[in-house]
Amino acid sequence: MLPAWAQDSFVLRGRVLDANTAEPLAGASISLKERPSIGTVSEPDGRYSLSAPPGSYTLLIRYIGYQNQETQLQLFRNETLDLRLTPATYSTREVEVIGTRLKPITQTATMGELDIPMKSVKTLPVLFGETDIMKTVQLMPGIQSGGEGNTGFYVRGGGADQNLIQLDQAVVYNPGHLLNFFSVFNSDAIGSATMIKGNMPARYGGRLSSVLDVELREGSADSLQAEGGIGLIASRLTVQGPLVKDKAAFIFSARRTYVDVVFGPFLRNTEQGGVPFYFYDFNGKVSYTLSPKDKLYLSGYYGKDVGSLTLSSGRFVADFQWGNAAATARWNHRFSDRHSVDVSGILSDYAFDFTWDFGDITTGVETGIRDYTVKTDFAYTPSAQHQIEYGLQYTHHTLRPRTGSAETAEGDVFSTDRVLSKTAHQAALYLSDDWNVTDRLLLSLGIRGSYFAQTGPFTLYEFDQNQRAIDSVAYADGARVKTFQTLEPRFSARYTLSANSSVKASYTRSAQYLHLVSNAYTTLPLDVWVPSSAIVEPQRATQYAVGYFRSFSQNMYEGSLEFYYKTMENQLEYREGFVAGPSNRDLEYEFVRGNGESYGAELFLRKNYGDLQGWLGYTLSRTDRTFPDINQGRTFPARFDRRHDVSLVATYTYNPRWTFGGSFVYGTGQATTMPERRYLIEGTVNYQYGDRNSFRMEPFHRLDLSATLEGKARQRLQSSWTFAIYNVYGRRNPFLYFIDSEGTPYGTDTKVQAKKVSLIPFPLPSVTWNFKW
Amino acid sequence: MRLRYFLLLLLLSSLVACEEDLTIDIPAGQEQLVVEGHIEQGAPPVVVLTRSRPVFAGFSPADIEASFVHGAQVVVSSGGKSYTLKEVPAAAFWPGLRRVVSEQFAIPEAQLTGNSSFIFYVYTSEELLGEVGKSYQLRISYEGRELTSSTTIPNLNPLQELFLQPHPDPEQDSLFILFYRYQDPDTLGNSVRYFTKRNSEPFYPGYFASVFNDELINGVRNLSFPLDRGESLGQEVDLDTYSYFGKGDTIVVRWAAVDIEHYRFWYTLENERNNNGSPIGSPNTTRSNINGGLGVWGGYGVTYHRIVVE
Repeated sequence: MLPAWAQDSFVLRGRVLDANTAEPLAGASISLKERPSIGTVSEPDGRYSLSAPPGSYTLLIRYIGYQNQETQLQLFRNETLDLRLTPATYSTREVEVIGTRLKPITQTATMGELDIPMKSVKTLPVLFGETDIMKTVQLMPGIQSGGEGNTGFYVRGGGADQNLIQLDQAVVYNPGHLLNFFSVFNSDAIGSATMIKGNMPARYGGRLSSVLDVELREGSADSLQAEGGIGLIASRLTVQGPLVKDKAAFIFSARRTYVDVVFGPFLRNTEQGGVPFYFYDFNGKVSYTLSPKDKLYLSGYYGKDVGSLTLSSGRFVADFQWGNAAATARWNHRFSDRHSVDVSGILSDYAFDFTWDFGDITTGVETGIRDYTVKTDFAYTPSAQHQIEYGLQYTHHTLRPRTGSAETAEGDVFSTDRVLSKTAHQAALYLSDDWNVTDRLLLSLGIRGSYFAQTGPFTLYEFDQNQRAIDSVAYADGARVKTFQTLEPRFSARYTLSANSSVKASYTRSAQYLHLVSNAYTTLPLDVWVPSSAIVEPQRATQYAVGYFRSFSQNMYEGSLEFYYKTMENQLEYREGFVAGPSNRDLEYEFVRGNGESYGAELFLRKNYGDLQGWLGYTLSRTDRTFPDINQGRTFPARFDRRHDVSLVATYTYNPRWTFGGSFVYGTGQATTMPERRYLIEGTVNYQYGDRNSFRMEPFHRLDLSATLEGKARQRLQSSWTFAIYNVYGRRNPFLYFIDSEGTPYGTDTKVQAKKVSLIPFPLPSVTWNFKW
Repeated sequence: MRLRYFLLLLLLSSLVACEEDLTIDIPAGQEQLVVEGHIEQGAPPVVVLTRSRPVFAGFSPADIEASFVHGAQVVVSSGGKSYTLKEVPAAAFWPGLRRVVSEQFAIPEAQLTGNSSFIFYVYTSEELLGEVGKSYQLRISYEGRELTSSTTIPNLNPLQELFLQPHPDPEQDSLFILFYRYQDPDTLGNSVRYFTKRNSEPFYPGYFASVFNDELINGVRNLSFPLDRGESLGQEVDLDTYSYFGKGDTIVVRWAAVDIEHYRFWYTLENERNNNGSPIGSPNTTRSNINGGLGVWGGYGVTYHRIVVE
């Protein structure tokens, strides 16, 4: 019989900090040497906590790029201990791929959660040498890329609009620059990124498929530093330092492309006369320690894509721009070691604007969305057995649909005057508990109640078959038009089989109240977000997943095998025959609704340490849709249905100066709709199409390689060169298939030919110089 | 001129893309009957009946011959009376029919004569002439297949006037932009299809967009807007001269009021053609008004307008 106290656990908590800069370190691994099954990983603000039975232990702290540390620990009551780690070498560009920043996957509660290690983001080869977290995300199992060079992604059969993408808690509605070849995330400014592809914790809501939660870095609290890079098409600069020593710090990043300058000369003789196009963005964050218990964060993002176009000797002149803006103010207060709160006020904005002059007529098209959000998020650890989160979130949405107006030289104005901005309110309450039921069983129980209301001004039209409005109901400003609510239970369980293996299972229900429907191969800047309303029902999904997780050789290797099954309700597509032209009725009237289903298996194997690191991801999956009004009601493959998807990623540290990286991807060909027959109208070829998405393009595969050379340290300046080759063996991956015809109308010289369009069909080298001072 | 078209240009100019021929096997699909039929005021109904063929079937004279459907029963009814249309090969066209077919189908009249090798058949009736404001039902029976449709010849909706403006580049002083001035009736739903004829050429419909609708300009009093020159389809346009007329040209505009389903057919078909091969448009948008088949049965309420470039 043990004494009563022996049955209790005590809690050790504190922060992991850089010994030199006092910058918090996220993702450091803390474990007990004597009890390897007990361990944890530090949070983004450096905080950690673990619980263990009373005893004397050796605390083992590991974090790549820093010296391992062992500390003696007497745990006979709850303790607080800050851990300061010393950098391993003078170089901060120590390379790691998926290093110890990751929690051992056997120990996390959630399923399908992946931390994206920023250092591996920076080492992997990418298009034009512009490193990008969204491209690293695509290399994970269960996540598909949106296409060649594209930052868009699809998770477990969900659409591109079903990913919640947040930057310091502000929703990013259009995460792409330059038609999605680059993301809005400047790697230099990012502290951490977490990808959750299912089983979202209850504090996240509003999207069906996944969460990509990106946090900006906190500035260095004790010295002024600069870093940046010069690449083929863009340059970056980040400055950080203290504002008030040990109290307040800032970080500021800027980036601009010069595609316009680089490619311009090659296109001088074409009609456009160059690439009149560029983008830029700024990130900034200020952190201020108000008291030992209070911290204030202010962060912001502002980015724009800007361009102009002149055609037909100046008869057509166009200017366009689009971009996101986000601002977050967050106050973190700790009531006690066990209880803390974050109160945040967030602005999120996306706007697209296009104006052109043609002849004497000036036309403008615009769309956008603006959110004001307030959130209160509590974290409470009443005992070592429970970790509770609860909170309240509210967002006010204003959605500007795609509207246009034209003005003639005589001053006549024509506009889509019936298409008006929509207003909506979204609120949610949530509660979750990570409950260590026994040493082996962890239950994660969550519930989220979400509420959505569309309010006026709004006019609901009824149309006849000729699309003429025959009736309408008008709602006044602020009047409630339609409300929706959803109870979203989230449940997962982890059962530890042994010190290095576990099984997990999860159930997730989620709702999505804002929708974006795109019939293009990629989301576009002028795609329109629309709210759930009297016309459109919320999308909802249910996901079940089970998995087996195992680590080998003290977490040197780890692997997982997960299975998921997901059903999606009220999925949206454009009705058949929809043409995206100017229209004086809400786009929502062009949607049809149906259901989706996705299921699959995901295998993940990763090597965490050593000179050679990397991972292999393989996904076998199927995604179908069934819409009464599409494909004559027959089930069809979703456009992003992909049977096989393979990613192989490796980096090799040859010596302290040279590091090599490579990635190989393979995917089943994209589903597309092809003409099966043809006929003539006015002597010219038209097509009769086969079933929706019934044709498969050739498979997609590509190898990218990179080499990084660390420069010799000169004084404080550290620098490195990254050389990369995108598409090493020049694979002509299909981007698009179509059937082309040419010839005289009614002529016997008419030719019909299938064509394939490839983007970047040859090896594309790039070089980037990065520095830190 | 579409926004999406320019974003595509932008995409392709920003990145290096390549297009290559591809050999693929495509299922043969199900044969459908295709109607291309029109009726306009003062003219007989003309129906061209063909069948859809495998996408890679050729265009030899034998292939073209094989695509025409012979021996179908084609009936047009209006105001309680029915007219059975008879099949006539191009070589047997009489002058009036020749003119109507040439204008409606953009075929040079010279090809529609007895000594031409041009393979073309229509179903028509000399007993029925279209009238403004009337509606016409089409019924086709062929080997157990039944196709039906209905169209109207809308009230005439002429434009007010044509005028010309010089090319924006003063050095291009032989090129002119054609403008039209238009007053829209107060009722919503007026739609127009236009064709232009330059000197002795046939009438060609607008190349990228031949139809307009008043959804956004209903009841407009005095709209003036450029009218692009129609060109023969099937070839790439020369962007230097596209849309312009030349000094000395005699221009005739065929301005045809169409009903909304007829409008929608051309609007969606032209959208599909313009977007073919584009990554940002969806294919397969053409909306036929034929039940049980493909194509169009469309009435035209036609007015002609003439201007000489001096």
